[in-house]
Order: sequence, then structure tokens, then C-alpha cells
Amino acid sequence: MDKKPTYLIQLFNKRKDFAKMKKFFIFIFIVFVKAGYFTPIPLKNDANMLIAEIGKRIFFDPFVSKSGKIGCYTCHIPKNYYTNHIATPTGVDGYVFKRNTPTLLNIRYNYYFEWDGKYKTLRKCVKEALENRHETDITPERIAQKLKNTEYEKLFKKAFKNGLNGQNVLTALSEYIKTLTTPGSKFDRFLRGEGSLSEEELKGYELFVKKGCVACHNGVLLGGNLITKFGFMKERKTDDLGRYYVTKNPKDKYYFKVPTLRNITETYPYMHDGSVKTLKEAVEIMLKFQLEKIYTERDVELIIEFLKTLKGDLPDDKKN
Amino acid sequence: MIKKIKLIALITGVIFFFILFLFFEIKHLESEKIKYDEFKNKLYKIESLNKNLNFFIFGEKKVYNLDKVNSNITSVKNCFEEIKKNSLYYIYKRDIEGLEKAFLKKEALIERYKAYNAINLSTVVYLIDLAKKFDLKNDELRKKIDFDIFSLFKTYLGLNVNNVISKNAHISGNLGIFYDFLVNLKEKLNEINEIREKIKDLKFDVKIQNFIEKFEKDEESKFETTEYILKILQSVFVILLLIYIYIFIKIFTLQEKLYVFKLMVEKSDNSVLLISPSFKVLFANEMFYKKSGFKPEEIMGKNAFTVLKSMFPEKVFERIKFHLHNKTGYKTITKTYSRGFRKFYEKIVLLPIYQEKEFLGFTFLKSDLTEEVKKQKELEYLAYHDALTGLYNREKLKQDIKKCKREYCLFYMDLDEFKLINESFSHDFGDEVIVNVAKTLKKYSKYVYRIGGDEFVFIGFEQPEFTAENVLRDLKKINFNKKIIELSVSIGIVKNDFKDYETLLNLAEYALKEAKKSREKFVLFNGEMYGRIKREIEIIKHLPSVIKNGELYVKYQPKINTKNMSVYSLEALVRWKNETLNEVFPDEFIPLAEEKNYITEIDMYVLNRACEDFKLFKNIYPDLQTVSVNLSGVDLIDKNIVSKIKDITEKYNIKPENIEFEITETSLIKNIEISKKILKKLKDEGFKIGIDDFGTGYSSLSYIVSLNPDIIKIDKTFVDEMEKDGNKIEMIKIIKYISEKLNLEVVIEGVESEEQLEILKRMNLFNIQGYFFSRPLEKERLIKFLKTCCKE
Repeated sequence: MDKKPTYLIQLFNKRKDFAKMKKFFIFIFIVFVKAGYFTPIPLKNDANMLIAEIGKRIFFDPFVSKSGKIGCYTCHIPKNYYTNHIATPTGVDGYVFKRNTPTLLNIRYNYYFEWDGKYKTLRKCVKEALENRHETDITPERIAQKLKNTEYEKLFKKAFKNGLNGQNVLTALSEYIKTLTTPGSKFDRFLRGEGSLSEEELKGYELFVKKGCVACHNGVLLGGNLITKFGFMKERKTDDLGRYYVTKNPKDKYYFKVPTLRNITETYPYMHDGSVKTLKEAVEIMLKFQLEKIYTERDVELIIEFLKTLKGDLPDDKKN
Repeated sequence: MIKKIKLIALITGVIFFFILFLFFEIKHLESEKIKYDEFKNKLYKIESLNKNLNFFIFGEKKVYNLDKVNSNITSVKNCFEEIKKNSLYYIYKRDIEGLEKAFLKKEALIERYKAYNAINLSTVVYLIDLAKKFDLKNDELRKKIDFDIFSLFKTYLGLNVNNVISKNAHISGNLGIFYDFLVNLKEKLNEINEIREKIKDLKFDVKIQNFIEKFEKDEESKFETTEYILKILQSVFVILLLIYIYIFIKIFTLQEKLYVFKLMVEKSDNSVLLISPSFKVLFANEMFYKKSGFKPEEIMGKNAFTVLKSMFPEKVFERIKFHLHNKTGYKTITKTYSRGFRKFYEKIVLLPIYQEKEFLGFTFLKSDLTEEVKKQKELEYLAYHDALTGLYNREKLKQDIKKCKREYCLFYMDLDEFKLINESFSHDFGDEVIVNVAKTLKKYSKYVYRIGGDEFVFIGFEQPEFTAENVLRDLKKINFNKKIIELSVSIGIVKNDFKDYETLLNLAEYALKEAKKSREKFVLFNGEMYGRIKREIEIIKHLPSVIKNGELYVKYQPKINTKNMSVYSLEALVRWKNETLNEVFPDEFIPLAEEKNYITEIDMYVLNRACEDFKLFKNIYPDLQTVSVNLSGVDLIDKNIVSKIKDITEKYNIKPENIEFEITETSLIKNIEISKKILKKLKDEGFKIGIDDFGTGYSSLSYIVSLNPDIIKIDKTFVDEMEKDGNKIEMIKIIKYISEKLNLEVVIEGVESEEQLEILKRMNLFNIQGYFFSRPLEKERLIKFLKTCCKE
């Protein structure tokens, strides 16, 4: 049973002479895989760049927050892959958040937003984030008022028929976030058939599938499309009840969104509460099921090798 | 035709609006249909998406790309949203809401299923890996584990096997935990199956299918009416199309006809003008503009009266106006004026147009008759005018006389001896003379006619004598081409007593003859002349039968030689006695007989009588030498006359030297050459020739000599009152002298007194004829006279 998935790869390794044959088989494999669990990030971004440009200015403008001190960029730091490397960040008012800051990169491809899957659209999520009293604490309408008689008004008038208003502010921000994608990762190129993975990476990929990670981490983001129990067999005791807060269904206790594995190497610390500092730990936790060690160190290394291939380039504005 | 088309157009218009109505109805239904289709499509989409989801849930594939599942769910939700936007949603609101509710339930279950499935999958993989770790020597345990895992798989794969995985008491440690997991998993798998059952119980797919069926049933009945309407539309459209084709064909043919008519009218030689019932000009063709000199902008839409007024003489215009107002037709030929003051003769026709008692206007037609009128005038001119002089001719005279009611004088003029002018100059010259005469006559009268070669008639109204004298004076010397021609003319004048042309002209001609005879140059016809003419007519009437009826008889006048007082010759003189006319004198009837060609017959009759009687007289009076017979000039043209004469003389056995023919010199003038030849023949035969009435004509001596006569008879005019007139005696002396020189015998006529006889005796002229000795005597009386002479 364990040899079957690796059959093709072994075949390729034994017969190195047939490089062409290998390429061919890799192609077929890719087709198979592509049809199956994973899809590459679309190269073409359908966001409206004119509106996104306004969104970008708002994103980096502290003026829009209630206090006028912070902005979106405060926690979603571009150079840190739009997260802040803090386990549980502290709000403006000194409130300590319960959950880790998610990256905004590729967030548009999520099915569920927030760790507990509270929202199903990016727009709602953005609105919530703006209105959260621990964060910018401001409604989009208020932002619109604030932006009146500034050069924003001109820009809005240019981009929208109805000019500056709360909804359009939301749209602008959403549109900007939509532009934040990393389609250039090695894995994407592999999926598109534009490049290949190294032997180790392939092995890691094989393990990723074989060990059943793919059951939850699939799709474009290798996650983000499922809400399930964190710790199946043995309940992991945390203060956070996850989805239960949303649905109030006892069955949903400890249910969390499966996070994306894209850029996973850059978005530490891990887990919903940022309790795991290194990727290795995180992989081991996920493999162990809080039970017996049925994996080798090598397995973990290989999986990490694979996960590294998921790192893509930051969008153009990483300098900010 | 036009009414028919109007009717058809009306019908088609109604049908058109009906179709328009149907069209909008259909358009409305069309939009309904689109809504319906959208609605239906969404429902079908939901159905198919639901199938995908079912495949995810009930299918055998356990590892799934959840993105697809999620997108399916999102799509279904979107479909519901769109359905809500559709107006049909309000009809099926309850059904749709039910479906949506069911789907939301299903979604929740799918969420749960997703979570469980993911957990279970990774758990199964984990447990299988874990099972391999255990190094089991106990085969029984080994078998149990294998069996349990197998049954677990069966459960996992949905093969409903009611195997209970139980944890044996002696299993402990890691294996114990493994078994706990196994049991736990088994429960979880059952939960999954429960979820599956719940989803099945929702029967979302059945519900949506039922709804689709219901929906289609409900909605499609609506569109049955649409189809029905469409069918009607189709048939109506076909009918309409046929009608239009019919109309178009009709219109096209009509148009073609109209076009041809239009061309005909436009290019017509006749002027055409259309006038509306309100007397506005509607149309005019090219010829109209050409003839009238108007330009289109000057008359189009203008009042017809103002247009027509300038074109016609006032009287004609008044007529036209009258007929226009009365809406009646009018036809005439009139002069018309054009802009450039050109004149035409045109036939105008004004026609009111009625169509089924509806008055539509007038057509006004003009056809140009100028050429025809001109030609007619020319013809008339030719018919009534003389080509050479431009004067009126005989025909015109005839008509004018008929027409004229006034009292007037008719002058009949003739150039004397015009023939001589022609012969001595040339005919061209003669023509010029005629033309000049015509010019002169025109001065005196408006009405001048040339009715023959040199015969003119003109009409004057007052003082005919005065006019005639003036004319005569003017014509006496005609000056042309630097030559002065002396003309002698005679004029007969007759006053009209409203007589007819023939008589009038005859009378005039007679007057002319009289003028010529009398040499008075002009003679005014009078009652006496009228009586004479009447008698002449009677004579002419009787002439043809005169010999047959034996009305003619011959008288003889003896010629006496005064030397020995013997009768040496007799002159046979014809006499005519008619019952109605009584005695007709030779002066009366001989000219007429000559004119009517009876003279030869008469002369031959006289010759016959003379020959017959001469024998008798010779027996009684042997000294008698000759008998003389008058021959007319007409006789001397006849080529057979010599043989005729010979026949008669031979018949009576008379010698030619006993016969003497007396000829007047004037009678010979007409055909001198022929007459000369005949005379010569007669002379050669032995007949004697005498010149009668010598001295009265124009005779020149050389002319007389050329005739070579035997005898000259000096005319009575020389003898009359010769005793008082010495000149006459001198003349006779000269004649006698010449005749002696030419060896001619001289006879004196008309001696009536002894004095005359004495004078003649003294002049040695002894051959005497006259009343002094004897009048012309009839046969019996002459015999008596001859017997008495013998006694003396």
C-alpha cells in the first residue's frame, strides 16, 4: 500500500536516462494532481486597479482610523507578508486579541473568513475589521466623511459614479486586498507545468498527500475552504471554542477554519492563537494527532521542504 | 381603380395596426418568455449543482477538492438570489422559500459532512499507519485487528455492515488507545452515515425536480397562447404579403401607364393645361410653355384666369370664362397670343373632368393650327388670285358678285390686239405689260380681277364714265423699262341690277364688244343693247336648224356695166326668214354663225343655190358672166374647203370662171398664211377672187397684192355722199389708178343716185352695184328683172 503512490517516482529515479520519459510522466502526474486536490493561484488578477489604488492609499493612511494613529498596515505589515509575527497582538486600547493575525496574501481565495469562519465575503470581513473597536474602530461611512474635501474625493469621483461614500470606501479596500496575491510560487509553477520540484520536495509532496494532510489542506490555498475540529481524536484544550461562538452549536466547539498553507514559512507563529513558534513544531503537531510518533524526522523535513515551495513573491508594493 | 386601391390600402392599414398590436403582445410575451427561461435555467442549474453536491456526499471518492464543493454551494446560493430578482419569484415565493430553506439545511449538513469527512479520512490514514507499527506475535490479535480494520473500511466505504468493533479486555497500552480510536472512528463513521441519511431525508433533489415539473406545467400553458398568436400572425402576414404584392403589381402597372400618359402629355404637340376646380393651374406641358412663353414658376398654382387672359382675344376669353364658371365644355378655333406677341391660330378645347359625378377640374387643350390656317389661306389665295398679277381671278369674281349687295358698276376691260404685242415682242414682255396694267387698275379699284389672258374686270361704285376715262388715259401710255408702250384698251361697263354672275359678265362682254365695234373705247351697257342681245340669243338658238328647216333663201343683186348697161354679174346674198324672228339680217347672224362655226355650212348652201340658179339665169340672160358668193374668213381656214367647192361646181356643171368669191379683208387677218394658200388654190382652179369692202380695214396695198385678187369692190362708205366730199373722189381715183396698174377689176358698191353714177362714169368706173339699179332680188323677181333688161 505504501509503495503504490511512489511507484511512478521510483520508476523515474531508476531510469534517469529517460529524462524525456520522466518529463512526460511528470506532465501526466501534474494533470492528475491538478484535476485532483490542488489548483494554482490564477496569474491574472481581476481586481480593478484604479479602485485598488485608492484602496491602497486608504490601507496605508493612519488618518482613516478613529485615533488617527494606526491603519490597516499596522498589523498587516507588508514586509512581514501582511502579518505581524506576533502570537496574539495587542489592540489600540491595550486589548490583547485572542487570535493570531492572519496574512492578507491570497486571502481573497478563502471560502471562510476569520478563524471561526464568521464571514463568507471579504467585504464583510473588511467592514468588521474596520469597525472593531479594538482595531481602527471606525465605520466606512465615517471614513468617507473624514475623506471629504481631501484629494481622496477627486480620486473617488474619478473611479466611481457616485463619488465618495462608505460603500465605495469598503469597495476600494476590498479591491486593494484582492490585488494581494502570490501567484509566483514554485509549487504554482509546478502545478502549471512550468517548472518541476526537486526530488526532496516531491517526496515531501508525496508524504503530504499520503499522510492525509490533503484531506483538509486542498484547493487553491491548501486550506481556507473547510471548518473542522482542531484535534480530532483528542480534544486540544484551549480557551477558545472557535466556531461555537458563531453557531452556538455544541458540536462546533473547537471548530476552526483550516488556514492556508501559502507562504506558511513566513507567517509564523502558527495556530489560531499563535502558540506554535516554528514550522517544524506545527508540522509535528499536525502529524502526531497528539498520539504516537508514527513519522520520522526525515518525514517532517521532507514535508517542510515541500511547504517551502509554497512561498511566493510579495506583490510589488512590499517596500511599503 | 384608384378607389379600389384606396380601399385595399385602408384594409391593409387596419391589418397593419392589428399586427402591430399582436407584435407588442408578443414582445410582452417574449420578455415573459425570457424571464421564464432564466428562471427555468436557474432551476436546472440548481438541480445540476445539487447533483454535484450529492456526488460529493454519496460518491465513493473520499478525497475531494473542497474548493469545488464550496463553489458549488456558492453557485446554488447565487442562483437563489437571482431567482429572487426574477418577477416570477413572487408567484412561486412559497415554493422557492421552501427550497431555499431546505438547501440551507443541506448546506449546514454538508459543512458538517465536510468536517467529519476530513477528520475521518486523515484518521483512517493515521490508523492504518499506526497499525503497521504494532509488532504483534499473537496471530489471533493480529487477525482481530485486521478484521476490525477491514470492517472499519467497509463502514467507511458505506457498505452497511453491522460489525461491532469491540475492545478486548486484554488489550492495553498503545494498542488500547488504538482500539479506542478505532471505536471512536467507527462511531464517527456512523455519524457521517447519519448525516448522509439526513441529507437524503431532505429530498432536496426530489423537491426541486417536482418544483421544476410544476413550474414548467404552469408556465408553458401561458405560452400556448403565444404560439396561437404566432400562428395567426404568420397567416395574417402571408395574407398581407399577398395583398401588398397585388397592390404593388397594380400600382406598378398603373404607374407605368401613368408614366406613359405623362410622357405623352408632356411631349405632346398639343398644349395641355390642367385646371383645378378652384381655377388654379395644376399642370402645364412643355408645349404649353413653348407656345405661351410662360415659365413654370409664373403659372404653377396661379389663378387660371390671369394666365388665360393674356393669351386670347377678349371675346374668346369671355367665352372661356363663362364655360369655366359653368363647368361646361367649349371648343373653338381662335387666334392666340404668346408672350413674345407672336400670333398663332389654335384650336382650343376646354373639357371638364368628372369621375363618378365628382368634379375634378378642367383639361385645357390647345392644338396649333397656324400652319394649317396659313396653308388654307395660301390655297384660298391661289384659288381666288391670279398667279401672275396677284389680282383676283374669275372664281373670286363669281363669289364676290354673289356676295355683293351694293349697287356697283362692273368694268370689263380688254387690251386691243394684245396678241400682236405678244407676237411682236415676246410672251415675257406681254406678261410684264399685263402686270403693269394690273398695277394701274389697282389704283382705281379695290376689286380688280383678271379673268383671261388680257381681260380684266374691275368694280367701281360711282361715276363709271369718269372712272373709265381715267383708266383709259392712264393706260394709254405705259412707261416701263424706259420704253413707252402705247396701249389701246376697250371697256364694257355694266351696272348691276342684281343680276347673276353669268348674265352680268355676258352683258359686260357685250358692252365691250360694242365698245370695240364702235371704237368708242368704253361703252355703258343700256336697254337697247339688252334687246339686241336678247335677239342674238334667239338667233343663236335657231342657227343649228336653219338649213334643215329651209329658212334660208338667197337674194341676188345684179352688178351692171354702165358702158352697155348690161348685167354682167350677180352677187348672191343670203337671207333668213324665221317665223319668230321674222327677217334676220346677215349683219345680225353672219358674225354669230362665224362665232358658232355654222358659217361654212351656210356659205356652202348659198354656193349650191347660186350654182343651181346661175344655170337658169344664164338661159334667160346669156350675157351673164359670173355669180359671186361671199366666203367668210372662217371658211378660208378649212383645209377641205377647196374640194367642197369643187364638188358643188362639178355637181351643177358650172365652170370655175363663172364663180367669184368675195372675201372681206378683215376676215382674212386671223390666219393670213393659211388663207393665202387656200385662196391661191382656188385661183389655180380658175375661180375668181374679189376683195369685198375694200378700204374699210387696215389693209395695206402690199397685203392686197400678196393675195393676188381679180376684183376689188370699193366699199359703200366711199360712195356715200361722194358728191359733197372731194376727198372720197380722190381716194377712189387713187384706188382706180392702182388697180389699173395691178390689172385689177374695180367694182363700186352702194351707188344710190344718178349723180353718183355720173361722177363714176366720168372717172371711167363702169362696174356698178347698188340700189340705183336694183336691190337684192329674190329668184323670181330677178328673172323678171333680167327679162326686162333683155327687152331694153
